[in-house]
Amino acid sequence: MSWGATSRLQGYWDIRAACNFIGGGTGSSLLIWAALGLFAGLPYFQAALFGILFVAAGLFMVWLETGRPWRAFNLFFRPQTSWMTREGIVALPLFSLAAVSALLDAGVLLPTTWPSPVVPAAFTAILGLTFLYCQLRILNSARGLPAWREPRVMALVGLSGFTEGLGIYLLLNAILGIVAPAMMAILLALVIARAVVWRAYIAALGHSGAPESTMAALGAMRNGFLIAGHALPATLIVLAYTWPGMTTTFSALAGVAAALGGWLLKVVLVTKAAYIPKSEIPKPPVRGRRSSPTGAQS
Amino acid sequence: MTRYVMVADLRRCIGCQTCTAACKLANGTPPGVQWRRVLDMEVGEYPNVKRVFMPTGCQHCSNPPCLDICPSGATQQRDDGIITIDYDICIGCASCALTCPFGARYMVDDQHYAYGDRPTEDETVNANPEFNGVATKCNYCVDVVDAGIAAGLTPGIDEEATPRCVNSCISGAMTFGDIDDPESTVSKLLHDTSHYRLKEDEGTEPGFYYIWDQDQP
Repeated sequence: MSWGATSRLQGYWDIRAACNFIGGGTGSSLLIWAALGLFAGLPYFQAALFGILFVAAGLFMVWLETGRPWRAFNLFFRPQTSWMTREGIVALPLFSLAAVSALLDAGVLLPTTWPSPVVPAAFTAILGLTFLYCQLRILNSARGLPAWREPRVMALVGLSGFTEGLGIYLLLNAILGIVAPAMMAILLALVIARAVVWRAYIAALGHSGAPESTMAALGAMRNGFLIAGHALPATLIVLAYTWPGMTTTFSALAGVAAALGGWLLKVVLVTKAAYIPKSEIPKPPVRGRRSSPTGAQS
Repeated sequence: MTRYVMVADLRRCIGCQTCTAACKLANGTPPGVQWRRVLDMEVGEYPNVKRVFMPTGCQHCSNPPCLDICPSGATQQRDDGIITIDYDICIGCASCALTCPFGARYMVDDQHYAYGDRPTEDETVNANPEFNGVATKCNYCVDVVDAGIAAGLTPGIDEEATPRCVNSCISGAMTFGDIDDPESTVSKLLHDTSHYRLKEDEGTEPGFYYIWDQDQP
């Protein structure tokens, strides 16, 4: 049998594209958590800085992925329908506002009209949410790939983005010697929610008849994803609450584990599970006699 | 209105791949890239097994997902239904290749040759470096179609206005023409036979029809 008679792994997007989803999801949600933390009186500058760096690194990696990188400006030509164009458009004010709010927080800028970075940080968070949504739509609009076109992938990758961002946020706070118990509780809830949505996503893929190779790739990462990315951080958060002397350390480790779990998910989704289904023919041709089995496939 | 479509008669196709070769020769596509590909498939369960040859490629959908997803505007839909790519605008993001339910788009980053590092005589003449790093696909030989129309010819009837794969088909399995013209060859063929389009549940409304039987009573 020839090409098309079996499902095949897409070869157009590789680890560089996965890094865009990792950087974009982690960075944009880190900016959101940083803004929420700012409202609660937590440090902002470091988280905002890393949020910018994550998003920028992701976009740089996907820029390296394009076949004609020096035409990158053409990316902005179709905002009417393309979520990739919209992502690029949102990135520009996202960087600007995040930088302004971070510099205001650090006291580098001395404005006369804005007494604090709260307002630009709030808009940064809104833009971060928009950026994350654009990424989810980019992924979900790949109709040729069952693993990506399944609607639950948006909830899964979106939740994962929030989880990764909060995980890195807890790590940064821990490095600064700060404990944020409420944020730890939110991370625990996010980790549980991501595990639940993962199960729903896998079940939906199975019902939709996704290629066996896709199910195998996702099945191969299942234990590592659930144990290292969910059970471990959940346990560490519980330990952080119950072991006061180690709260900072455990919350940082929980954050790292939760983030790594999400990054693993994205790498597998992009580079391992994105199979193009085999070609099917609804009815084989009738040659020389008037009978034909129906619904056959290769 | 005019809506150009392709019709492949699965009863006639013998899998000779002449259309594939004609397309490659005319368009100078790199190794591994076949805008007109013929799938060689086995269907059924032993002992009732059939071998089926299915010409595929861009389906030139009426509602093409590759059009909306393209961020650069390189992918365009003409009034006659033909989907084209402007290789001078495409940035090579490959998102169109991932969204095509038919896997009809290709992207090759670097220049490769069929045999080693040096081009064959044919590749020296026909290779298209403009295809490197951008998405490519079948365009229904739009240059031939347009030139033929400009010369007063009829696509699907006159060879000089008809895609090369159709002209090259030795079994008469492939037909091209305007489905909005009730007198066209494709309209008559589809009227008289049982046919389907691939993945119709996707809602893309392909402009590529497959005949599988005589007209059902």
